[in-house]
Amino acid sequence: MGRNPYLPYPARIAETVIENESRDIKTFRLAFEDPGSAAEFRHLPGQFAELSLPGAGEAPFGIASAPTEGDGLLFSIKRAGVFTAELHSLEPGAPIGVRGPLGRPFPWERMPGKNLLIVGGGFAFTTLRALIKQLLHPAQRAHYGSILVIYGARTPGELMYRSELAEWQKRGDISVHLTVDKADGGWQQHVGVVPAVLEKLKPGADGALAIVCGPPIMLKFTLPALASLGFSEDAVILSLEMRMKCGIGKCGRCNIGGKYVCKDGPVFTRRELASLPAEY
Amino acid sequence: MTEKLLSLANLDPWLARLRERGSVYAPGTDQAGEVALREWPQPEPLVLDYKNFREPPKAFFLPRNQTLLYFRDGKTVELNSAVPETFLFGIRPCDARALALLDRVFLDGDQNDPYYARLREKTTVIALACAQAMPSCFCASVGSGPGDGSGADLLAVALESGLLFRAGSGKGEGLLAEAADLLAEATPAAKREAAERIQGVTAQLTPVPTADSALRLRGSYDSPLWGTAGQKCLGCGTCSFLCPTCHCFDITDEPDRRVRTWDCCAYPQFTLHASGHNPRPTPKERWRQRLMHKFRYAVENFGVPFCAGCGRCIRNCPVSMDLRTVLKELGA
Repeated sequence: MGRNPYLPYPARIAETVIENESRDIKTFRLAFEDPGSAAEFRHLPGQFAELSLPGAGEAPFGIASAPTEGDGLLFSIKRAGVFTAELHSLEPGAPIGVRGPLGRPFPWERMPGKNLLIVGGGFAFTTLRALIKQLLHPAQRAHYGSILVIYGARTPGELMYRSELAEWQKRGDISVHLTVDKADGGWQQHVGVVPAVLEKLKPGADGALAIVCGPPIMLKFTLPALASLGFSEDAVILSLEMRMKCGIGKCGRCNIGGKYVCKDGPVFTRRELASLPAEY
Repeated sequence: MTEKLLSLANLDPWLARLRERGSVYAPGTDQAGEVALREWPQPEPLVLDYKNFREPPKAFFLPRNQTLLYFRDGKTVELNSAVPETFLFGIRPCDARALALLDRVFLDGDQNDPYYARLREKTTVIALACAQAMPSCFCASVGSGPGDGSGADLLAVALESGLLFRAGSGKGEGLLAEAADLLAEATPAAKREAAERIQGVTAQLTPVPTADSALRLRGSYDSPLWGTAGQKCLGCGTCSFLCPTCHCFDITDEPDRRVRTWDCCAYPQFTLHASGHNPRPTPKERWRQRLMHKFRYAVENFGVPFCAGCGRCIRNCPVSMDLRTVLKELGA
């Protein structure tokens, strides 16, 4: 029998960064305790992991780093419940367990030669960061067409990864459009919700894939906007969140119809979701 | 498939032989006067003509509380104590079939559950064909039946003078080979008697339309009947906990260990996100989920309903919910 799928790899918090003005989203850089774990843990953008704090429990989080960034993993986590409050209280050096990688990644094999539209809202941007980092890797970038990113948050101070976003905006091989619901004094970029920016930019749907992660309210208006731009249901890729425990399709918690978000997802095409009950 | 006869006089000596290898559980009367699976031997005699146990035997494979991992000196570790050899004699075919269904989830080959796998491997299942059906039984409507041997290593059929054994796995074949000196060849008359007894019980069952359930349920997601059912449901979880195929679980931490416990899709917290969002916010969605999971999603994923037709959910529901009625109404 192989490795016990419930047993986390031992790791440590190497670094923490507060991502937003509300100070409730932190990025944790984790380093595996032994090189063997790092070698075994081979993920792709879009996958997630269960983080484990002995005595506090486990919870699933999207992996915010790309494998091209080397060993170690990034997770950007909002303080929302008991587990995340415990996690936010930890300092660098604290031990933590990592179980994964879990789930189906973004459909990497469909992306070469395509124009990529990446649409994110709020703190769901984490796995999109992993995707963008992977796409921009020098050995990767030439395989793809144009990359257009639309990322929205409530206020400028709630955008995550701000220094990286600024770097990307200086590059010629990716176009990054940031938008906020409510601007502050110095804000020079879009104001308005993500779907409004999408309708303004009108990216072409021919030979393009749209990868979308965001809160339900953003999806509700973004999906019809993509459809009217001509994106087929197969060309729209989404990532879902569900309450999870086991992460390996046993505990019966995250299913939507006959699919388990943990192992059949969290990444689905819009066509796949259309055949499932709207229980998400 | 080997078939052998065990005389009633040889039943205790055979169980005693199994007892030398591990724990033996067999049907006996408990303190409350109910027939249950009890550690053998007991002062009271074995009971072979009981209907079924109140509780299914799933706790032998998925304990109510099971430690998955321990926290020791800052490390998360497995401390697997040796799993003892266990023999379950006399569970009913529906409950044995339920194990074959649970295997689809926990031994799916993709990512096997090591805890379930160990208990399943170390436990030998000897099913006992039913002697009579209850009004709430509907095993034959879900692809099973009073003589179904799937999920069991051995199926026994109680005859006038003894038990007819039918091997259902390599483990079962091995048991028969080891007990050769206690067994006799199965005569054509014994096989005929076994078939007649099983047919007799099958004839007592009332058919329920489940064969095309996946198709019907696909079209009935928005049916107002879910709301009606959800209004009646208390969300107590009795149906799930007594169901031999319900297997949803929670994983929680105690200070020194990580524990798996039974959970239930009828509970509002089951799917509640940390954000406060709940994909199944009311009893309506939760009741629909339970029935859909068993009769539509499982059929789509595994080709069989996740129901063994044991009827425990019907017999034990405090508000007399009956999934057969809902299935019938949805089909109407």
